[in-house]
Amino acid sequence: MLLEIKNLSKTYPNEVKALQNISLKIGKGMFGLLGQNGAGKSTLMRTIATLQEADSGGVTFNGIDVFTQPQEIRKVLGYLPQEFGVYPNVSAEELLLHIANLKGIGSKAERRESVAALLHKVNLYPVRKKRLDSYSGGMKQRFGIAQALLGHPQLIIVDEPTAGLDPMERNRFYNLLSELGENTVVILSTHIVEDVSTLCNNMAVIGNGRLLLQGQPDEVVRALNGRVYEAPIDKAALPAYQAKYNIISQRFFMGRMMITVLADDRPGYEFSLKSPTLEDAYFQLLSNQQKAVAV
Amino acid sequence: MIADILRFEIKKRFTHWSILLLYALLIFQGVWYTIGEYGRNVNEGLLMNAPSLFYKNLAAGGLLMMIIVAVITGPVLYREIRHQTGQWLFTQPIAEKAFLLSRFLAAYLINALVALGYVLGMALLPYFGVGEAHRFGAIPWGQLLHGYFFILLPNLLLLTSLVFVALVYTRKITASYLAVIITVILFLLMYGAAGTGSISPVLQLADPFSYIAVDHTIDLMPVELRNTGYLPFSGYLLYNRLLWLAISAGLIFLTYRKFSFQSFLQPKGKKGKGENLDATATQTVRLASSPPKVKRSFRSIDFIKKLWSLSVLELKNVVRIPSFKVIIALVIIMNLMQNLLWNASVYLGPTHALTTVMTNFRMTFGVFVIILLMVWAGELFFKDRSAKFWQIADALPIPVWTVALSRFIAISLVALMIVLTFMLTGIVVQVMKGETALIDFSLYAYDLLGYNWGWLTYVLQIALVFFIAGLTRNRILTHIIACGIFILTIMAFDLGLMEQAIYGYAVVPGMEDWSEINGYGMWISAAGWYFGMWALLALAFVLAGIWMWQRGSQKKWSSVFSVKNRQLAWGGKLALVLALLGFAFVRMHITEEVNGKGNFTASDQEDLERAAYEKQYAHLKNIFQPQYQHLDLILDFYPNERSANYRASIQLQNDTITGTDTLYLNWPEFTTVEELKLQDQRLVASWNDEEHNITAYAIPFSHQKEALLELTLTARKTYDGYTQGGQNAQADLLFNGSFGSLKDFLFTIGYDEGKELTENRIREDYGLPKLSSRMASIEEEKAFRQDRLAPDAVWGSGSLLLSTTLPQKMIAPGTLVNNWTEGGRRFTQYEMADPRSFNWFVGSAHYEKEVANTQGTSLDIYYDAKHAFNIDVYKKAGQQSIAFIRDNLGGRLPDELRLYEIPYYQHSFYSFPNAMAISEKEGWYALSDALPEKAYLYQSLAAQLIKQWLYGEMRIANVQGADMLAVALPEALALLFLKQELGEESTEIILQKKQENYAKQTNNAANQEPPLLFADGTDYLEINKGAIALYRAIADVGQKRFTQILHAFLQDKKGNPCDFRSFYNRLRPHLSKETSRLFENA
Repeated sequence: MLLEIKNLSKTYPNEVKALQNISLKIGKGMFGLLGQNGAGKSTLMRTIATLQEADSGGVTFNGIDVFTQPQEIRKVLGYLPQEFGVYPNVSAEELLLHIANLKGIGSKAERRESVAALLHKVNLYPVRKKRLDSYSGGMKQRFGIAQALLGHPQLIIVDEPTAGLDPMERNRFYNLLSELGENTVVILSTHIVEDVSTLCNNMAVIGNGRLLLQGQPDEVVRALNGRVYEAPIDKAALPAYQAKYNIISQRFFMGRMMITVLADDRPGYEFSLKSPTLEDAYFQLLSNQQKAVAV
Repeated sequence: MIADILRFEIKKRFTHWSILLLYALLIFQGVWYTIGEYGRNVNEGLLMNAPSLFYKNLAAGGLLMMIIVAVITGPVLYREIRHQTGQWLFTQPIAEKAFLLSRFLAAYLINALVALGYVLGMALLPYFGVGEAHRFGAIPWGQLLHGYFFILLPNLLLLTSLVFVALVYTRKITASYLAVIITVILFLLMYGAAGTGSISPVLQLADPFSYIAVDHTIDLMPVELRNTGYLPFSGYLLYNRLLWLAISAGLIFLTYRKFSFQSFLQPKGKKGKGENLDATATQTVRLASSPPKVKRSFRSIDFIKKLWSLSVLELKNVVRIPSFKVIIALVIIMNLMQNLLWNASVYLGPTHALTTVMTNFRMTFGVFVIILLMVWAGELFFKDRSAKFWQIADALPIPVWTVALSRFIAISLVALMIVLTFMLTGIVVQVMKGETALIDFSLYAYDLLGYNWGWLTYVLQIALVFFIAGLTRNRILTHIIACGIFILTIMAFDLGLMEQAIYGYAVVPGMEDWSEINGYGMWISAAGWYFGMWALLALAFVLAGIWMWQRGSQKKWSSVFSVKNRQLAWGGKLALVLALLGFAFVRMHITEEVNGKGNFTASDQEDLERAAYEKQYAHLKNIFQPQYQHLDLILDFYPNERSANYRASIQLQNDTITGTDTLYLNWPEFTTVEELKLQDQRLVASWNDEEHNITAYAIPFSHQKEALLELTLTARKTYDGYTQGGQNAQADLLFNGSFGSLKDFLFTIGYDEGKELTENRIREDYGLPKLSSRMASIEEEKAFRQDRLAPDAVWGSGSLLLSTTLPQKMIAPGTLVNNWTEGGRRFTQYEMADPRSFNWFVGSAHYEKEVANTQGTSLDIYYDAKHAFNIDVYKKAGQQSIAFIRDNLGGRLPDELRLYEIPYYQHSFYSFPNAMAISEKEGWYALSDALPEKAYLYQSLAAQLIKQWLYGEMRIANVQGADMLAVALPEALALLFLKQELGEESTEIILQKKQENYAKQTNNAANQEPPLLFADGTDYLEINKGAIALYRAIADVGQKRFTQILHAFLQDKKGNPCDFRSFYNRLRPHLSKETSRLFENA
């Protein structure tokens, strides 16, 4: 199983370059796509999901061309968009049965069985008969997950899937995705770095429509070994540190500001070496990108 | 705070570019409506910018204004839900009731300011170049503002409060649209009911916009006041305003009481369910195994199977929404009310529960059902987008055509449910009235399920929405364009801007022209061709809609229209091309049938031709021509072919001082003259004007005064192709119920006054002088000697040998001589031994017959087999009338009389030698139990019988006042009969109705109304005011003395032309001043 993205570019009519020459190869397993809001993740997801045309480049999945054979891709696709609504006057069960029908599950019994199983999986079975407009945000998200998984898709694209889910449901969903990732290609688009580091065996970071990084999360982290330092500082001193060091992130810890710095040697006495995380790598990329833009 | 909110809202609305569009639309509507309203008011003295027109426009509001109000009012409040801004806005330190009032006032103020565009359009009318300068007066600013403040602003208040109450109680924007739509429907139903019956106080009060009360008040205003006056707000108009203001206040109060920030922001589902349901997330659930393996199939056959199941699912989604249930309930209630309470398609009262009356609901309500369906269709086609579900739906492995078509089918099924509701309600009404025998399932099917403004019409309109949805890819734009096209089409026909069905998408000719005798006649096949044409276009719409259907994000136009766009398969693309070619081909065929074969002339063109005829041939008025004196006619009807062959031997009498050297003959259209001989010599045309159907023949020999010219004619008349509707029914040759004058088959000699333009305003348009009178004055000798009933004939005699296809029977004048069948045809021979007026009529129809004999006169009643309802009433009325004429009026009637029921296409009543004809709509299927209807049947039949006597005694001169003798006198004498037979009350009912009819029509008359003494043959004057005046004259003079004066007049004038002035001079000494004024003053 291989999803191959070649030189994909897309510019919107308002001149925003959403994708710039993106090339990726994604195999079986979970693939994390990281990026800031507006980086181009959703455009890439929509393009793979046949919902958006590209200006140039190509996307194939197991030899199926997304642009010339969209119908074939849809047969193997499970897609959960970042934002979606539901029909207000129908129940979750009715709508899932409807989608199962559209996904080509011809047998009524099989449709019922599949839908019931997925409703159990996303913990909506007890409220399956309720109208969707009475669902909370988290419940709607779980409904979205269920519809994406209907029909045993080989390519699963989930765009910010855990938005609105409580920790327990988020956990449950990630377990489910991990299970599925054993036999399918799962693309998880998110800006929560931790999710990628814990779940994905491969990842990419995009920013301003460009591919900034691609690799395995542990490799990415390993590249920073021995180069990440952190120090507690006074908030007022931040500008001075910014001028002096390559600060990749800052945060508060127990009321004090902690800065993380990338350096080949220990920057100062107040700094201590830190075990790098994927978040550090991500922040470093963003930091570099911002500097490049500023230049 | 209120001021701040108002300022913000006004600034927001009036600094957006769209405000210019709204003003442009309303200015256009102001101009357009005024032109239309002016066109409907034909009075020559009415100004184009008369305040009366503006008052009506302001009351009607106009559909564009309704759409604008519906679109701009709701969002003023609803946007806090739509954009979820209420979540933070309502946490600000704002008083919630003050917030509501501010938004309400803002919405109302915006509506009021936007509506000024409508006022502006009307005010600026003179500057749009829509009429000559002399047709405009000074801009009536005072009256415009008067109407704006007292009519339009209260109406806008009602609509704004309706929108707000709907929003606050339902928190759904569609409910606010629905509130406006239902109010408009209520108005239009009242308007429709007022158009078909009398203006009752209930209608004047129940009309939410006061249009009916305004219209009624203006109807009673003379033209001078219409041009300058202010509308008096009194009586029911005042009550209407007060009632609806009170209702608006009540709605505002309900809104005020209900509104709170908390309730307004509640989720749209059941209260608090979300939170409760979400608790399931923390419940312990069993760990489910993975979903079972399933078999998936994506063959074409699977998609075809899915099409139906998806359609049913989509249908369920539509019908389960509350607004659908409300609409269906409304349809049932309105249909029941219309058919049980408001059904009044005859002169005075209700009819039996005929199926055509039941299906007529589709016409009065259909426009609004179509608009609703269009809106529903638009909503359904954009359902995935508006529910934000499209990213999921569009990524599913199902072809566009399956999803799109399933929605098209679903909304078509919704339409089917609505028409079935029409049908079931109609049947229930028929059953409730105990008239199950009148249930005609085939007519129900044709009218309601077919393309006669029925289900298939709805489907065609849905296809249009489908196409526009694909083209625009924008929900709101789809609603506006689709409804706009539909409404503009309806209005263009209503205003006379469009006259041919071929220009109105989904329109077929004759859809309102059902006759109980002739059915839909020629329009059955016409409508079939038109539907075929529209169906091919609709097919192209659907295929193009699939091609352009938006799947995924917005695409470039080049890729949408690319042949490589595979949303529509190659086969579909080929079918699209073929459908468009088929459409063009059928359109060409229809154009040939309608225009190519001369079955349609635009009214402007017709006016132009009439004007040209008058300009070119008016000199013929002064050229003496011979007149008909004797006619032997053999005429064979072929109803199924709408054809007749005939041979006529005609004797023309030349009473000119010198001989005539040229005959000028006007031929009826669609006539082919095979042979025309004079004294056995074939006549050759000196010239022939095909445009005006007039031919000049040189008479090849000299002849003396009073010499008889023997003319023989062999001709054929055939109608081929289709007309556009009942106004041009070609009623002399129908499949059933043919009825026509002899002049529909034979020529009219000399100048044909029937071709003249009589409306002064139109005459002016075409450069003709205004007519001071539509009839010659009594001093004009030539006209004085002409017979009013047949100006180109002297009283004459003749015979008729008529035949028709079995089982039809003949309609004819004269006494029956012989009757036999031969070769599948019925032959009937009639004779006119005594000279009588040449106003002969012939026809053919499938009839039943009843006989009523009295005092030596037999009255045969010929009627459609389905219409035996009132035969006993007619028999009794006939017998009593005959007795009354003989006993009380001393009149002589023929021994043999026949009464025929005829289709409604022509005049309501005819009386010609030995025969009378009454239109099907004038009583044959009326409910005659109540006195008003019974009185009408009695009086109308008596008037025709009295004509039988009077027309046999009186040669009415073709000059001013002629119809006072020909029409008003029989009507007045029939009122005497009515009083004697049914009592004073019945006479008062008819007098009251005549008074109302006169009052309503006199102010809408095209030309200046003359005094009755100079009455010039208008269709409302003599029969109403003339009859009332003569009835009063009889009261002044006394019945006995009046009869003596009449007899003396007839005796003195025997054989000579009679004029009304001479008769009036005999009455005048006995009349009160008040009665005299009725005759002498306009």
